[in-house]
Amino acid sequence: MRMILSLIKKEILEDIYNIRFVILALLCCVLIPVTLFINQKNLSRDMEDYHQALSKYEEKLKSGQENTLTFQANGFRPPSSLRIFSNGLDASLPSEIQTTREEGVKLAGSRESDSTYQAMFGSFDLLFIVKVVMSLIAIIFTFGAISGEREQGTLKLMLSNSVPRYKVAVAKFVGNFLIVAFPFSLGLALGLLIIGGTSGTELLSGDHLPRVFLMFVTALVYISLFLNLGLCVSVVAKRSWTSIVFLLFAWVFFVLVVPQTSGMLADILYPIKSRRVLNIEKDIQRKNIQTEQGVELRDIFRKDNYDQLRAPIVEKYQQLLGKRLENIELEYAHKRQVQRTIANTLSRVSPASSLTFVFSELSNTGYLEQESFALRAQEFQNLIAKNVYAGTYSDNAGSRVSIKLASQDMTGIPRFMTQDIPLERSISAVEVDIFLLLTMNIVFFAAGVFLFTQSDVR
Amino acid sequence: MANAGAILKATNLSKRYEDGVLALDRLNLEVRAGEVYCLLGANGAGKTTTINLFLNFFPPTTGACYIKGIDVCRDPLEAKKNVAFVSENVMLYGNFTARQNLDFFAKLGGKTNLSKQDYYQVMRRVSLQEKAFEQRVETFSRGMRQKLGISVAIIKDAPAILLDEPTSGLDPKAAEEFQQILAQLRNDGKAILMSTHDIFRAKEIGDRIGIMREGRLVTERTRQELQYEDLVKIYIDFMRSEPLTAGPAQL
Repeated sequence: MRMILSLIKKEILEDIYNIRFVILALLCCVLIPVTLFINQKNLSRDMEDYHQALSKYEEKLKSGQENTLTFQANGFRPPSSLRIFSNGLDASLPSEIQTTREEGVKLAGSRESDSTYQAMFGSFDLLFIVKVVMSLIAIIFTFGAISGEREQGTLKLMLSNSVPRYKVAVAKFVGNFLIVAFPFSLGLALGLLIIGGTSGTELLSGDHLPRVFLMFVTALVYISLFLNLGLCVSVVAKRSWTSIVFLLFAWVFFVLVVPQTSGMLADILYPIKSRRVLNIEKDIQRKNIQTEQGVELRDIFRKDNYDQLRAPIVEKYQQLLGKRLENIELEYAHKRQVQRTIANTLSRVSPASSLTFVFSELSNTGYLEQESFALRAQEFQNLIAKNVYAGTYSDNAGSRVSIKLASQDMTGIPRFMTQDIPLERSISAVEVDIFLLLTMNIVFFAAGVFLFTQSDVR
Repeated sequence: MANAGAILKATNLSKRYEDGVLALDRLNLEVRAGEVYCLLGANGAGKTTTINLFLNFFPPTTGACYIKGIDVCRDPLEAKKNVAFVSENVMLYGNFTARQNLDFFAKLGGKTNLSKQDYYQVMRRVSLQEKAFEQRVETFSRGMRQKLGISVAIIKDAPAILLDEPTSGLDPKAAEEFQQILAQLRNDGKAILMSTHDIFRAKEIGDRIGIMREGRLVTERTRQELQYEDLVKIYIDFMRSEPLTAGPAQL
């Protein structure tokens, strides 16, 4: 135990005396708090927008100039308080719901459309810092862990003593992990203190604290994965420059290439139509139904009781159209789901993708939020249909007649309710990613230790 | 079990690398306590391979080597408690001071209760300048690093010391100082195995000198024998002779 502590101490001291540690410490203590602070400011702005939209909608309802035929109920999605850690899908998710009597719910107004610059270059958040910056730092700290010592001859000197090789490898990992994890943790703690001071206790409310803690632990697991990868490669590489070149290629592949190309690959493996084509198909269906309806109405046109016969025919074709459009949408949604599953599965080759999924789901800016919002939007539509649109009826001629909504009716109109995703559900959605990150960590670590114990020292 | 008098012993020690090169061919040698054994030979003769095998840096193809009677392959950690090592180009940790380097390697060598003064004393023994004790090693000259390297070996206080071309690249004064330190260690009863290119230094310090060629120990001379023979002539004769074909040299 004393020996391994000496080895760990040596690793830590060697890094502390190195300029790269100073750069890392400065980077973490400036970059993380500044990023969290800026994202917190953006969040406050969006939250204000959300509250303004809500109050304006309430004013609109109170004006009472509505009727059941044309009424559109609105719902607004508040930005996730945790998106300061991972913007995820938050910017691209719709921020507004509009119900319609005939075409169902419409989702609109993504925040992304407000900033074309962010759409072009992406946004900067804690996830980006961990995924890109910290992983790069991790390999910079370990690319020469063994190969560097081999080059400078200290490996031979060290192993000429009664030191088991596995202890050297373990100490290298532990020492480097502590030296990278400490500035990261310090930077995060500083950032949390700053945003805690500016936003009050909101960040610590509900299940936010365990979510932040889980993100922190996952970040450490991800960082240690790249440390272990660096260690593993530095055992195999004869020279440090070979090690860093290989690791940089691996980093580009895992962090940049795989997550970006998995979606494209899924598109090739499982192609689906675009939304534009789908809308054209829906228009064709509408026209077909109208034609069929026209043929049937023509047959009864000369009959005496035409008006009586017309209403059920129109109703039948309306229902048929609704059903067909719904089927098209359902089929499209299913295909998109399959394609997304393929893309997600492919991208999980990269730990960067797993980290993205974990951070996004824990920040309530991931797929769960998207699905949950779409579901709640549909429920809202059904509620409005039941409470408002049901007040529309057909007269004898088959025409719809609207009922004017008085301002007192407006207060009774259901409001869109936001709903937080339970922590357990978020965790269960990312179990596989946490498992993959841990497994890859263990595999790289075990491979590094095994290869080192079996390698020749020359 | 090795001969009771031999601290370092190799029996039929051979090493063939993965690329097929036979680096060492059935080496037999013994180094006793209070003896300096110099391995002379050109590059690729098998000197460093011999030392690396004693340190279990890789396993031998055949044969065995023993340190203080302990089979290095069977119990490397126990065997390495009894040996210290000085490499050709001692780099150590450049960001550490001389004392910090000494402290780290002393702890690895099992010396955990040494004081700052103990480290200073060892560094004084190898004539390292006092002002260098707390200086970063990256500022050291090659000679200073080599002195610190031998300090690392001294502080371990092991019965055997392996030196891989330790005077290579040293200026004559530094090499002379180094030779004096080795003489002191021999007087302390250490068994010293040193590989070197330096025929003159080997003749000065070596109690026995083995000449290696193409992985084989082709001849061996004692200090007494060399009073009547010219080591340079012996060395050059062996280097110029026909390539070796079969069978180990008769010692």
